[in-house]
Formats: sequence, structure tokens, C-alpha cells
Amino acid sequence: MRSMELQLGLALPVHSPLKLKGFDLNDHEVEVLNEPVASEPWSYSSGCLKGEKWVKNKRSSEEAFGDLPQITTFPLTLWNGQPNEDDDRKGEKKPHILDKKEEEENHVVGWPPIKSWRVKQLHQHHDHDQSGQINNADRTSAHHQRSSTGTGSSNSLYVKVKMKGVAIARKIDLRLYDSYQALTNSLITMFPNGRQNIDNDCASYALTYQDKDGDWLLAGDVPWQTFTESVQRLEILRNVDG
Amino acid sequence: MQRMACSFPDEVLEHVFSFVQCDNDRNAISTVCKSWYKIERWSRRRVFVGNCYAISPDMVIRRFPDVRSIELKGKPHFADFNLVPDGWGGYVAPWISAMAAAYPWLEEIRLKRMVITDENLELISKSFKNFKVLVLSSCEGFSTDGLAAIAANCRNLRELDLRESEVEDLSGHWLKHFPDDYTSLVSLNIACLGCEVSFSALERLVGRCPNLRTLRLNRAVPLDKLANLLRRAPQLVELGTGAYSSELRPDVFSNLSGAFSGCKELKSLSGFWDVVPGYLPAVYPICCRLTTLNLSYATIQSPDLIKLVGQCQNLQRLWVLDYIEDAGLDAVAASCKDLRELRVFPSDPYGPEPNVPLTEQGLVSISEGCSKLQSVLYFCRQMSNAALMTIARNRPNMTRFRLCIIEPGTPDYLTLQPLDVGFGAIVEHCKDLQRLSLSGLLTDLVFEYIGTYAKKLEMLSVAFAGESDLGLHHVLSGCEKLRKLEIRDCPFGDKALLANAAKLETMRSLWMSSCSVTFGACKLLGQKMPRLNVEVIDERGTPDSRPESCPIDKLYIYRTVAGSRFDMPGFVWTIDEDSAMRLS
Repeated sequence: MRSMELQLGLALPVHSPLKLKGFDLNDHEVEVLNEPVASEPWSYSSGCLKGEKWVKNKRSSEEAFGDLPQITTFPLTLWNGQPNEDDDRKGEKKPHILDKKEEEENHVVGWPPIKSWRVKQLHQHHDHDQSGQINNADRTSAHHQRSSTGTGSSNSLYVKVKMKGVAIARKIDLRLYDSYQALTNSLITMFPNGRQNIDNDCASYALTYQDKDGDWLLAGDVPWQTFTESVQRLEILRNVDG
Repeated sequence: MQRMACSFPDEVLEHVFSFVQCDNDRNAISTVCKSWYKIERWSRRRVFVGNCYAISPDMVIRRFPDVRSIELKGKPHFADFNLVPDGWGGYVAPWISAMAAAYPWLEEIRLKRMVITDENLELISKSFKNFKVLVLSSCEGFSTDGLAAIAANCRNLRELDLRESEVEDLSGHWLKHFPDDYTSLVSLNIACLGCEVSFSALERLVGRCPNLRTLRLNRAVPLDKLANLLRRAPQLVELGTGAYSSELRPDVFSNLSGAFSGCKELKSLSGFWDVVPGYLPAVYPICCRLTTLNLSYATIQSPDLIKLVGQCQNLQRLWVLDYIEDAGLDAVAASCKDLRELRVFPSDPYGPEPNVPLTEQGLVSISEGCSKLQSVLYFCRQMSNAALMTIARNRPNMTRFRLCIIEPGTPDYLTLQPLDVGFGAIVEHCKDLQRLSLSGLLTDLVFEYIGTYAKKLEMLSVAFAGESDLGLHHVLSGCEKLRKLEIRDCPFGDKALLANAAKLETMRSLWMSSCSVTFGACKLLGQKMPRLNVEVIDERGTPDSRPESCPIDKLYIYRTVAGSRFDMPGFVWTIDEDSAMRLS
């Protein structure tokens, strides 16, 4: 009967709470736990728990516990001049474009907790270098900007769209549109802040884009196809009158 | 008492027992007396083994000689997120060999997170003449050759479901191995396959199986072929599309729309890779019948999502990307009053900033509008205690609550306080909560709440939380129904673990990685607890080469009656009673 109990012990649910008070392995070596273990003070300076030794920072502590995200305002003058540094990391000391390997090392393994299979599917959306093949090596990071080597048959053309005064940038797939009109219609819906001031007159706003040479240009001058081949990212500017 | 038990012939008792399917009830029956134990074990047809290393195949076969259906789970859950190194284990081979000899009438095999090879698949296909169901969930180790063997030899196959398994795609021709006179297919899920399957073979297969109710295609099946398949199987109840993109053409559209309209039984839709929004209206005619909608691969924007979901008044389960935005979730809350389960996945999980306006507000709206909501998985970038308290008060009927705030250690964005009180409200109000995943900035306090209130909790997932061993102690000592506990990157060490060693025998398993547990504590546990396997997983080399006070990398503890396993790779160490350090 004992062996049966042992086997059954696995299957039977435990209904009564454990009463094994004396069974504390701490007696063997360590002190019995009868008072709360002193907790280390943690600082609010960054709004997050500062890394203790237990945090396996695969990324630098700046990234994991850096300042709360700033709302970056995009200076108007920039579209006249130099190509930008990587926007995502405004004000950081890191070199701007991280290559793939660095990016991977900077991510915590297995976080956020998304099934590897799902991550692969995500990758096929973001990574323009792939042509539909599942790449097993590529698990953690996705390109934040359009890959400069991305050509050939890609399923999507993701570009970032920003609007001054709106905290959240959007990412859109240009493949879903076939004309400037379709694009601007969609953008109007996406940026509701803009809609308050608009009187259905798109002339109040200017859509600008950064081309592959790094120059900022007004959208609409070149044929749509040429535009989609060249555009790196978009920005919506309000025309300042007078 | 004995006289009463023998007053019914065995056949009568067996017949009565056949109405009892639940494992727990069957286990209870078997403890009544020896004769009931005997009758029950001969008549048990279905066995579930939650951890394939908790018991050996021979022990199962010895106890239950005539099993028709078996379910086995292998690797720990965190293997889904690449935290378990390759080669750790979970091999199904010994089970297949043992069952091939002992259970010639086996009909169903369901595996989760296990390693299965083409040889194993071939053995299955040749050993069980009445084989009907093969479900491989998040499995790996096999190729399309193994599938060909199943197709060729399993004449009575009803179900072939490869959910999210990693399959080596050697060729799409495996599907041709289903014989021409094979007609019994009921469910086929090949969504995880990368390669193109032979489409003509697929069409013919679908056309000749009148009982087909579930068909989940892979991405490689183009949209313009979908209509043909649907017309051949208008009785389908569950459909997963392939790529949902094509040049917008009115003839293709109307063909597709007509085909969908013809599927009067369709209740579940999934797939939708590479969606071209212009084709979404093709499914509008059937939306009102849908109970399950999985759009978690559909990269479409909120307005299109709203138009679609707004028509699904009978929706019970919705999986979607965060492109739905708070506005979209407001719409869901207004239209989908029968919603039981919501999962919102991140479209850009590795980006440093939010890319869509999806916040805690979306979840609050759902909790207000959907009174039947029971199960939530939600990825977002900000949360507040106030929101969590509102959600908890709105939905005390919640049973599964998994919240992932993407940035580790994120506090309440309004008050900058930890989220202890918010999660505390969840466990306090949702008295039937079975599963909980925590995230954000959390101190030991949240664990005190969990230990105090979460009396029905069976599974808890913790990451980047807590301050001291007290946190772990609260959970292990307070959560009476706890079966699975998985922890990563928390400052929990030896004290709580050793103080609650006996608790570990009442649980299925405990996972701790990147915590502060020392090798010394592991050795002690392994020595003193013979019914636990204490596995130290460390790819840095033998733990003996480091001081005993040095924290180990990963720890997996599970109860077992089978003793140490024999298939451990070089990076897994275990300690048993003779206190010698064991390698495989």
C-alpha cells in the first residue's frame, strides 16, 4: 500500500495546508527565519529599482534603468540641415546606429516574455533583409529604422512617422498605400491632435520625408514609386504662417 | 464494507466508473478499497503526466495497463523564452518505445515542449493501428519526413496539430503521403510550417474529408487559393488563413467573399499574415458567428481592426496586436459583450519607446464593458495602481491575469510608487484567480498580498521583482494551491527556499534563474529531499569550481517518484541522497 500511496501522492490534490512546522532546512545550516530579512533600500532617483547584483544586465544600466522617457520635440530647423542621429536615443552617449550584434547584446534574454515562434513572425515583418525565410539566428532585436541595405522582395516598408507636439511616433507600412492622397488621409486619422486645427485643408500641414541621402524634402514632388523607394522616415510639420 | 464493495460485479463498477473522466475523481475512486483500485486501473483510458520526469513510462504502464490517450509535458514553461539551454531534455523517445510494446491500442498522443524525432514519429505510425490524434505543441526535433510517415501509415488519423512546433522543412511533399482512400481527417493545423505544402494535394485532401472541421493553413498558402479550399469544405468550424495579401482585384475579392459566406459553421478565425486591409471585408458576412478571433499576426491599424471587431458581437476570445490601441479596445468593450479572453501582444517589443497609443486605459475599458472577462494577457508600457484597482473591482470573476509591462521595474506612472497595491487588489478581489504573472516595480509587499489572498492560485510567474527572501517566503508559505512557480532575476536566495522545502513536494515544479540561490543550498535540498530532483543548470562549467556561496545560474526543482533522470546534458547537475554530485 505504501508504494501505491507514493504513486498516488503525485495525483491527489493537497487539500489541507502543510503543517510541517518543524521541517525547516534552515536549521541545518542557516538561522531560522523568524524576522524579516533586512531589505535593502532602493532609490527612486530614476523611478526604477537600481540594478543590484541580481539583475543580470545584459544591457547597460542606462538602458534598463535610465531616465523616464522624455518627450522629444523635433526642432523645425533639422529638416533643413544635417541628417539626424538615431532619434530613438536622443541625448544618450551611445554611438548612434547600433549594429545588429550590439543590439542583441543589449537586450535582456527572454524579455519581454514572448514565445520564440511569435518573435520569428514579428521578425519577418520588421526585417527587410529577409525574403520570407525563417532565420533561426535572429531572435531578439528588430530594426528600428529601415535597413539601408534592404532591397529586393520585401513584404513591408515600415517607416517612422513623427509629428511635432505628439509624444508617440507611429510606424506605418507604406506598402499599404498606393498614392500620396491615400497616405495623407491615413495620417490625418492617425494623428488626432492635428485634426483639431485642421479644416479639411491639408495646406495647413506639410508632409516631409528624409530620403536615402539623408536630406529632408517635401513629399509630393516625385512620383509615388520613386518616393517609396527612397523614403527613410516621415515627419508632419505645421506650416507657420506669418 | 468489503461485502458492499463486492456486491456489484466488476463489469457494473467499471461501467459506473466510465462516467467519471476527471483525473482527480478517478484517483479518489481508486483509494476506496483494493477491488475498486483494481477495477479503476484497468479501466483508466486517459493519462495526463504534467512533468515527463516525475514518473517513468514503466511505472505508468504497470499501474494502467490499457491506456488509449496520453498527454505529456516536458520542458519548463520558461523554455518558451529561450531560458532553457538546448539539449536540456524532454525526450519522448523512451515513452514511445515503452508504449509501442505495451499499448497497441493507443489512440492519442499529446505532447507539449518535448523533443520528438522522425524515428519516434515513424515508430508511432507503425505501432498503433488505431492511432487517431497527434498534437505536438511547441515541440521540436522532427522534420517533414516524420510527418510523411504519419500521413502514410495512420489510416485512422483524425487530428494532426503542430501548434507552434519547430519543424525542419525538408519538403512540402509530405502531404502527398496521405493515401487516396484516406478520408477521416477532422483537424489539421500546419500553421507553423515554413515551406509550401503541395497545394493540389492539400485541395484533394480537404475535398475528400467530409468531417474536416478545423483547418489551419500556413503562411505560404496564398490568398487566391483560399476560396477554392473553403468551397471544398463549407462545413469548417475553425479556419486559419495563410497570407492574407494579394493585389486588390474585384474578382478575387468577390470569390473570396462568396466562399466565406458559404461557411455557415465557421466560428473561429486565425492566420491573417501580411494583411491587406482591402480584403478584410470578405469576412464581414461571417463575423456575427465568430466566437474566436486570432489577429495576433495581423499588422493592421486600429480603424480597420475596429471595423472588423465591431461586427463580432458574439466574440468570446480575441487575440490581437497592440495596433488595436486604446480606442480599439473601447470599441471591443462596447461591441463584444460576451468576451471571456483577451490577449494583446506587442508589435514592437524591443523598441525603446511606445509606438502605438495603447496604455492601461484599454484594459480598464475592457474590464468595464465585458462582464464575462476571465482571462487576460496584456503587454503594455505603462500601468498605475489606480487602474489595477479599478480592473480588480470591475472583474472579480477573473481567473487568469497576466500583465507584462515591457520595461522591467517600471513604477506606477502617475505616482512613481511600486505596483504592489495594484496587484494586491487583483489577488484580493479575484478570489478564484488561478494564474498570475507580475511585472513592473514590485517590492516584498506584493508577495505578502499574494500569500495572504491568492488561495486558489496555481501558477505564478515573477520577473525583476521583490527585495528579499521574505517575498519568496510569503508565496511558498501562503499559496496553498500553488503548483508551478517560475522566477527570474529576483533577489531571492537560500533562506526562503530551505525554510519551505516541504512545500516543494506539493508542487509540480519551481524554476529560479538569475536569483541568489547558492550551490550549497541546492546540495542540501538534494540530499534531504529524496522525492525532489534538484537540477542546477549552469553553462559556466561545474558549480564545484566556484565558491559554494556563489549564486548558481538556473535552478529547476520538481517532485518525482522516478529518481534522477539519466539523460541530463553536461550543463545540468543534480545531487541525490548519497550526496555525491551526479552527472548524467
